[in-house]
Amino acid sequence: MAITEEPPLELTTGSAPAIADRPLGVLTRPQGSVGWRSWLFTVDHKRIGIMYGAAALVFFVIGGIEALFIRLQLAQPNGTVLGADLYNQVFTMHGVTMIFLVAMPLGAAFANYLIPIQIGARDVAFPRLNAFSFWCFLGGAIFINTSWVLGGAPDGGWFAYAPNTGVLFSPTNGLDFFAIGLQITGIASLVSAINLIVTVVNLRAPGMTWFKMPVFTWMMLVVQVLLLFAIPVITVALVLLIFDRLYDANFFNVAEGADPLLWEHLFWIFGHPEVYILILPAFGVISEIIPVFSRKPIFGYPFMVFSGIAIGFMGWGVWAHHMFASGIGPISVAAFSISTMFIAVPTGVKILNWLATMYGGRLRFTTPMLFAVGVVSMFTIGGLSGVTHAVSPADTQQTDTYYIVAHFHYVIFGGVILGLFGGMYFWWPKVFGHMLNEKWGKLNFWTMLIGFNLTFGPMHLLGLQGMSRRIQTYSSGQGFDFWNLVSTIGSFVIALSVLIFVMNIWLSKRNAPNLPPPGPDPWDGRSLEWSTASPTPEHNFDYVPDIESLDDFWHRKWGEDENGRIVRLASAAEIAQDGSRTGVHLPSPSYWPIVAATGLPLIGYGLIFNLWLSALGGAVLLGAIYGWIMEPADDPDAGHGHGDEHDDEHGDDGPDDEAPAAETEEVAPVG
Amino acid sequence: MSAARRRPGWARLGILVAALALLATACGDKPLDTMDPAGPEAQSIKDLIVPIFIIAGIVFVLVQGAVIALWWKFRVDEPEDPADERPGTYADDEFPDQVHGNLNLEIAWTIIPTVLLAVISVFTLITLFDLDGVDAADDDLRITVVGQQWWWEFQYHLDGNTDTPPDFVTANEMVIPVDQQVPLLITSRDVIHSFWIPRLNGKQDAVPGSEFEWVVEASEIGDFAGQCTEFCGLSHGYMRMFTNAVEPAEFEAWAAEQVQSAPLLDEADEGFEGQQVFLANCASCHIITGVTSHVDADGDNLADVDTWDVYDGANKIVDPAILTAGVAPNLTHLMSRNTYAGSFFDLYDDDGNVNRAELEEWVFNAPEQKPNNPENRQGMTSFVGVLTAEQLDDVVDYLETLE
Amino acid sequence: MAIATSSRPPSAILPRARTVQVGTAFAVGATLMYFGALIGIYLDQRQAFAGTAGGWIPDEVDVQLTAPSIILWTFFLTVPIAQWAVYSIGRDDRKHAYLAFGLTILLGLMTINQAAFNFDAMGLVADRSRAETLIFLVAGSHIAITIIGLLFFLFTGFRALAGQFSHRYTDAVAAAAMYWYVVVFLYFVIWLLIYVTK
Ligand code: HEA
Ligand code: HEA
Ligand code: HEC
Ligand code: CUA
Ligand SMILES: [Cu+2]
Repeated sequence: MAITEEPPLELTTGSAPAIADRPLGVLTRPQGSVGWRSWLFTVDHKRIGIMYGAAALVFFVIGGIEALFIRLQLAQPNGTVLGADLYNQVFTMHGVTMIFLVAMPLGAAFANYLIPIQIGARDVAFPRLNAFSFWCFLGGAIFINTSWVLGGAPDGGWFAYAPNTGVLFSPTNGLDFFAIGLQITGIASLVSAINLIVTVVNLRAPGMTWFKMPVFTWMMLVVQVLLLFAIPVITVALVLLIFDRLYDANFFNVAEGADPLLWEHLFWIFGHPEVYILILPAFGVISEIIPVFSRKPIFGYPFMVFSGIAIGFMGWGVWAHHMFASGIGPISVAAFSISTMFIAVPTGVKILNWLATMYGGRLRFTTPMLFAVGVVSMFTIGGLSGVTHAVSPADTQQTDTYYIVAHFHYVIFGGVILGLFGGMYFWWPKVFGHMLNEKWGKLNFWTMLIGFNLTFGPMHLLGLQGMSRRIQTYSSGQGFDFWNLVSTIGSFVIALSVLIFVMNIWLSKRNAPNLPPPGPDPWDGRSLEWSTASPTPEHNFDYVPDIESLDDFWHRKWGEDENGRIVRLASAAEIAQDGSRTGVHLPSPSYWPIVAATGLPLIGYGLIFNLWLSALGGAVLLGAIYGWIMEPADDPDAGHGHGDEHDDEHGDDGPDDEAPAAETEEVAPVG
Repeated sequence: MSAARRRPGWARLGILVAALALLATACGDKPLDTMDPAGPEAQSIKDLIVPIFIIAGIVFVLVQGAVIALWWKFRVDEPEDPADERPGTYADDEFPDQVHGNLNLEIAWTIIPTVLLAVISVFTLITLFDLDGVDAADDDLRITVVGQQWWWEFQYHLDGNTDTPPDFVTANEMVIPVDQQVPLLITSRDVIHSFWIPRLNGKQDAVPGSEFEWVVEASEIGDFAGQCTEFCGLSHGYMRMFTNAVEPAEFEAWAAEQVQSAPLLDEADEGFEGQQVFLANCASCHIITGVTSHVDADGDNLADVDTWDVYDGANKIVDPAILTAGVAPNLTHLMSRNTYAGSFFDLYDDDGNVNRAELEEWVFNAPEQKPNNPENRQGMTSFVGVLTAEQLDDVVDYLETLE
Repeated sequence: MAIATSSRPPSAILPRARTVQVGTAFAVGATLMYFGALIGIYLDQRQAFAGTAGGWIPDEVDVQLTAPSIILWTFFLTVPIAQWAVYSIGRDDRKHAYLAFGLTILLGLMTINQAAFNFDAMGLVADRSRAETLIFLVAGSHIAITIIGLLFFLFTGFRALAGQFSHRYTDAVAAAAMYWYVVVFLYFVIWLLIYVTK
């Protein structure tokens, strides 16, 4: 740990570090913790997590409505709901929205909210940078979606193969929005990846060694490392695309001798790790849920962790399995075919370990558990079809058909979406201080499961019967009519289940005052987040916990008697922190992250429409960075601050008593 | 809504779905079915994938079976009185064995899938290298396949030499002799497309700037449908094609006819007006061998807009300035095809009569019939306001003579 | 498993986390990945070009080694100076630290100036040939990270002025220096791959 730590800082002895109380140029800082302003300027990882989640759900409905339009168009042969042009925009935006604006930020929501609490920290390493990431993501997301009203959405498919994405073939601005917007959300992901990695590396509570971290935190760590290396690759690809489109460079212009496969390689070197970026958070979530509702520890913790790491590693060596038909030559095909197959091994270990965790347990099928078990069973279907794609000669029949569409919706919807929905039901009481209604929750699950299978199950058949993807319509003689209709009906069942979820949120909130509060630990949880009050107090922990073992909190509640029987040592209510402590020194809110983040879309619009706008955006960005730098991480005037007791006996516990300088990081590269 | 009450509903649903599945597979033909091979390549792919489906099916049954069994066996029901306890809370003495793991088991289920996959990969490799390469002799028929937004062009090299100009060029429908492996060279003139006749072989992308070898072989006579499967812009969904396998003798006869040029009519001939309309309006894009390679309406010599020149050497990729110009479907033997415009429209009705009205509509206003973007030089222009009704009639009459 | 108790003695004081340095280290990872991909493309395209006629870099472009070499030496010069800044802060020697900060920033600005001059002298036209576009992109990206590195230095410098660093806390200064060394290293790579081995 040499590089990660400085020698202890004895704050109580010697001369205190000279911190100027009012460095130059500090504006009054935002204050208060209620009202909309407190959300706009917050640097609290929990609020940021909640905002990520809320934004992702809004985009889920948008992407879902786009999907419903796709399904309506395809419900019958020769559909006329959408024209060809609109159809292409709709499915492109559906893919882009769902991948970049739903699945990724929903994962980020959990990461932001939970990682600091699970490792016993007060916040992430760079709280303002964290806020910047969120606003950057939101700015980029809104930026991409405004293309609908500014001349047309992108229409090149979510993987945007060159040269079809050149200005020559796609003259509207849609793809400019795509390229620049993803660049902006990419900055968000990259910055937050660095932030979260540092958080995990540096801010773990005393005693929490690597192998005492919860599986969820582990999986999220792997995800952040994948992001760290995958985002730069897509950044390069998008830079080339932007140069081609805006400045007539010729990277993908075949007439100038370019090789269109360059884009394919770049995109999938990013794109395949990306799919594991999507799934690993869900794997983490269900690794937390299943043990709790089996009343057993996770089976084979080291294997769970290492297989996650292995998936992360192997994910880098398989990208060309998306290109089996693109003419990369039989040797490459053979190599990628085989490397792809063996990714099934670590994934299989995970599936079987979850089953083994359940084996012999006392299974309580609460809503979160239903979703988690749903993942185990539905993801397996998608994984198995994935293995059949890896069989490269067969993939030449499958690729770009609905069989692929079936595969990835099974892994993404059946893995990511089900998993993260389960996570929402599981952590809802922790986040909002009241439970979601179980009855509606179960209805939510079953309608979703049925709707999902009705929608995507038939796509396997359609694909094998030869239905290509991304076709705007089909003819009645092709034998696709029946299953498409079933699929469309299924998609509306999913919509119904999403409506049930939304209703559940609303009803549960309304009913909450009539029900006993869930308390800190409604499910007899295992990891640290359950050891503090619900909803999590602003400072997370009154006192930073000391960790002795994996599932430390659980082991404080339960011990073994001399016969090896498990007995209660304490109830959660007795040992959980009640969050009542005041005067904890927290990073103060700041105007600058959101201001800085608005600069980026402005620059983007400027690149497309008028460079003056870019200049304005650049000025906003630079000004915000300046303000940011000149403002200390803590507000000397804030309600609690100097003079508060420091947690000396507990040592360092996060950014609150860091030297304010811990935040110069904002000028770090954004790739 | 306890789990126990749900299960029968599930079962019923399963049976329903299964029954419907049978129903759906029983009726209606599926011209693109990947599981219904009509040639040796498609057959060997099927022979490879079916056992793998079976293995996947077994893993599927094992995992889903395990989920259901675990559910069945280890489920504890919700507390009797839900008000008593919150969901998911247990009594203090309700503890199973706290198993933390089992190294042997875990090693076992690392190794077993590895072995299974090793077996699968051996068969994959065998098939992969088996399918790779060309068995046909050097002087057997070869076809260069060119994808273009949004139709396919087939250049026939009867002598198998793809370096010389093709003997003839046709569009959308590729005729091949049955039981003969036909090597293809697949390329594209604009964006990436993908050539796919599912009942004959898998797909191969048509990438501009590269030529990829591929083969098709039909072991039965018939028309095999295909579809461009790489997203290629606006009309990607309408970019279809056919491969028609015929008896070798029939193929010979067909080829002998295709190499013929169309007669250049003069004023005395019937159909002359149509030809002139064609030369004036259509010849800038379409070729009719023997006619357009003479002069266009402005008297410019069109000889160098010969089929071959356009794709010769460095010009295989179309200059953006002539994205479609000169490289629209070759119409010399239009009426010998059954479909047109990306095989999206039928040329003949069920009784064998020309779908005259539809064809006229197409010629008159193609963008209305099939999404395209002629302003951006993608696809055929509209002749609304350009051709009079009479001219339209004449030119379609003329098209009908192109047997 | 032993019986765990719910009350335990507090653990010893933990060392302070060097968050900025760790974060910078990962940022360095991302930067290297970015340049790895970009330079990979450059080499790949150059390789692909090798068969065809004409020079990879068009004749109109006058690739000179002088300016890049001067830039490289300037960069090399900044390395000990940047390290001097870290060293001085570590010894609470502010005067020298400011001097070192100032010099590094000055030299850094000089490299940018020289790079601009070099672009001009080469007669690079961004959209004429693939080689030129790529050189433009690689060199341009390098200028971008140079600016980021300079800003990093500038801001740590500001904060040093505000007295936020001392021998107890050099984290951010060390991080800025670390990032800067990577900027220098990447210039060396670019110098080697683009300007030396044309
Ligand atoms: C969450 C995202 C996710 C995940 C986790 C995966 C997981 C896998 N994917 Fe998937 N994939 C996508 C998202 C994902 N994929 C997307 C979005 C696309 C399409 C992109 C596009 O074209 O738009 C795609 C496309 C895609 C292709 C390209 C198809 C084509 O276009 O031609 C291939 C080919 O090999 C593939 C393979 C795999 C494999 C082998 C896995 C493996 O990781 C699966 C491993 C899991 C299991 C196998 C199940 C559990 C294992 C056991 C129970 C053990 C026993 C099993 C055996 C012995 C077999 N995927
Ligand atoms: C996270 C990833 C994700 C998710 C969750 C989904 C969810 C869904 N997807 Fe999507 N999909 C992709 C990722 C995803 N998809 C990608 C990457 C592609 C490839 C794109 C490309 O080719 O470029 C794709 C492509 C794709 C296609 C193929 C299009 C084509 O190739 O032509 C289809 C077709 O049916 C489809 C359908 C659906 C449906 C019905 C859902 C449903 O599950 C959606 C359910 C959600 C809702 C229904 C929202 C809830 C709505 C409300 C609460 C409001 C209620 C309103 C009304 C009822 C009006 N998707
Ligand atoms: C701007 C170039 C252009 C002009 C001018 C043009 N066409 Fe076309 N034509 C095309 C293209 C491109 C296609 C293929 C369209 C598709 O399949 O999407 C086509 C397709 C056709 C087809 C179907 C051919 C097949 O085998 O699929 C016919 C018939 C046809 N054109 C007739 C005409 C006639 C008659 C005229 C003149 C009145 C004409 N075209 C003028 C570009 C042109
Ligand atoms: Cu051509 Cu799709
Ligand atoms: Cu993949």
